[in-house]
Amino acid sequence: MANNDVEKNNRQFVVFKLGDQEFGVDIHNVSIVEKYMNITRVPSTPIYIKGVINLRGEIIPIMSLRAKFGLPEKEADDDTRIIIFKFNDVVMGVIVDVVSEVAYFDDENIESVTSITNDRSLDYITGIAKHEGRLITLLNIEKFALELMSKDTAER
Amino acid sequence: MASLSDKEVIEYLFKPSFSTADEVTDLSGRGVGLDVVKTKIEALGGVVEVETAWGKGTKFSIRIPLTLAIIQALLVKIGSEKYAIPLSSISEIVNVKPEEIRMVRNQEVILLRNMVIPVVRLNEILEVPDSIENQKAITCVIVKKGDKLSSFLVDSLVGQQEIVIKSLGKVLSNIKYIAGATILGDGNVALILDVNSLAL
Repeated sequence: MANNDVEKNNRQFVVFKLGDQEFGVDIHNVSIVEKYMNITRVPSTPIYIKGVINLRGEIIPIMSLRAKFGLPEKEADDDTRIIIFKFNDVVMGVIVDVVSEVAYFDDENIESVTSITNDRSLDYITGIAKHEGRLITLLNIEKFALELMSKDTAER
Repeated sequence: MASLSDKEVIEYLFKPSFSTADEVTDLSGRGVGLDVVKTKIEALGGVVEVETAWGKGTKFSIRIPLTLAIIQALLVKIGSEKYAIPLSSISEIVNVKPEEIRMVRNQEVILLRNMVIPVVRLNEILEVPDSIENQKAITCVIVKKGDKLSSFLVDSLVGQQEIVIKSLGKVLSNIKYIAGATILGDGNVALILDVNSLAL
């Protein structure tokens, strides 16, 4: 099932934007939101991996969600943020245009994606939340991390 | 409090939120500093110790095991990017003129003391965007892979230094040509080259 098994109550999401589109990620895996910082390029990585950052001594890989979704690249500005995710011991950062808010979404207000499409390649979308009249696409960033980890072992 | 040993009292210093300060300044007073020091040092497998005597002074000792992976490396520059090459893989460093690079059976090589050494253009393999073209003297780092030598072409040498090897993390653990990363003195990241995958 595309949706993660969840307690049937309010979940807290970090809401961010890429252009005009709004996305949400479960706050459970969000470690910290950082301002944009210098990224060191790493060769031989997919185009949506921008490189790594030095975050207080820790080396963290950074993905551009715009690049991952095939959106045109945008120059970083004062609103650009890097959302750092921690999935058990896997750490990854994601560049987004703006982090707008942290919001609670009721399961009642989350539409499952399987009711909209059968496309398996979209399994990083866990649902669409209806919030204050807006539609917010909920993402499972861990899927991207897992995809990268399985791809690398194939290439080496 | 009177019934605690000196050792136990000192341990209080490192407890989170413990502070003897009357006021909180922007640098201290919150009871966070020593707690972070102890946690970070112990995470590295080290210990923090305190020796103190009334009227005499206090000594804080930090001991960290050298099992952190530290190696000697040569830092080089390709374009505006810095890379580290483990010194143990380096045989020597030479400068060659562009004309000295010849083609032998579709492979660029240089002649060094009667040895034919294949050339590896790192800027091309690593797809470095702003590598310097048309240099009068090209710096070649001669590396060894087992018995075989290869010549890595770089734009310039930065220097030799000890570096701490940091993993690139699980997500990027299997990247071709890159063995890890290190944090330089200025806070920038330099990638450590995997000589085995780059050498011919």
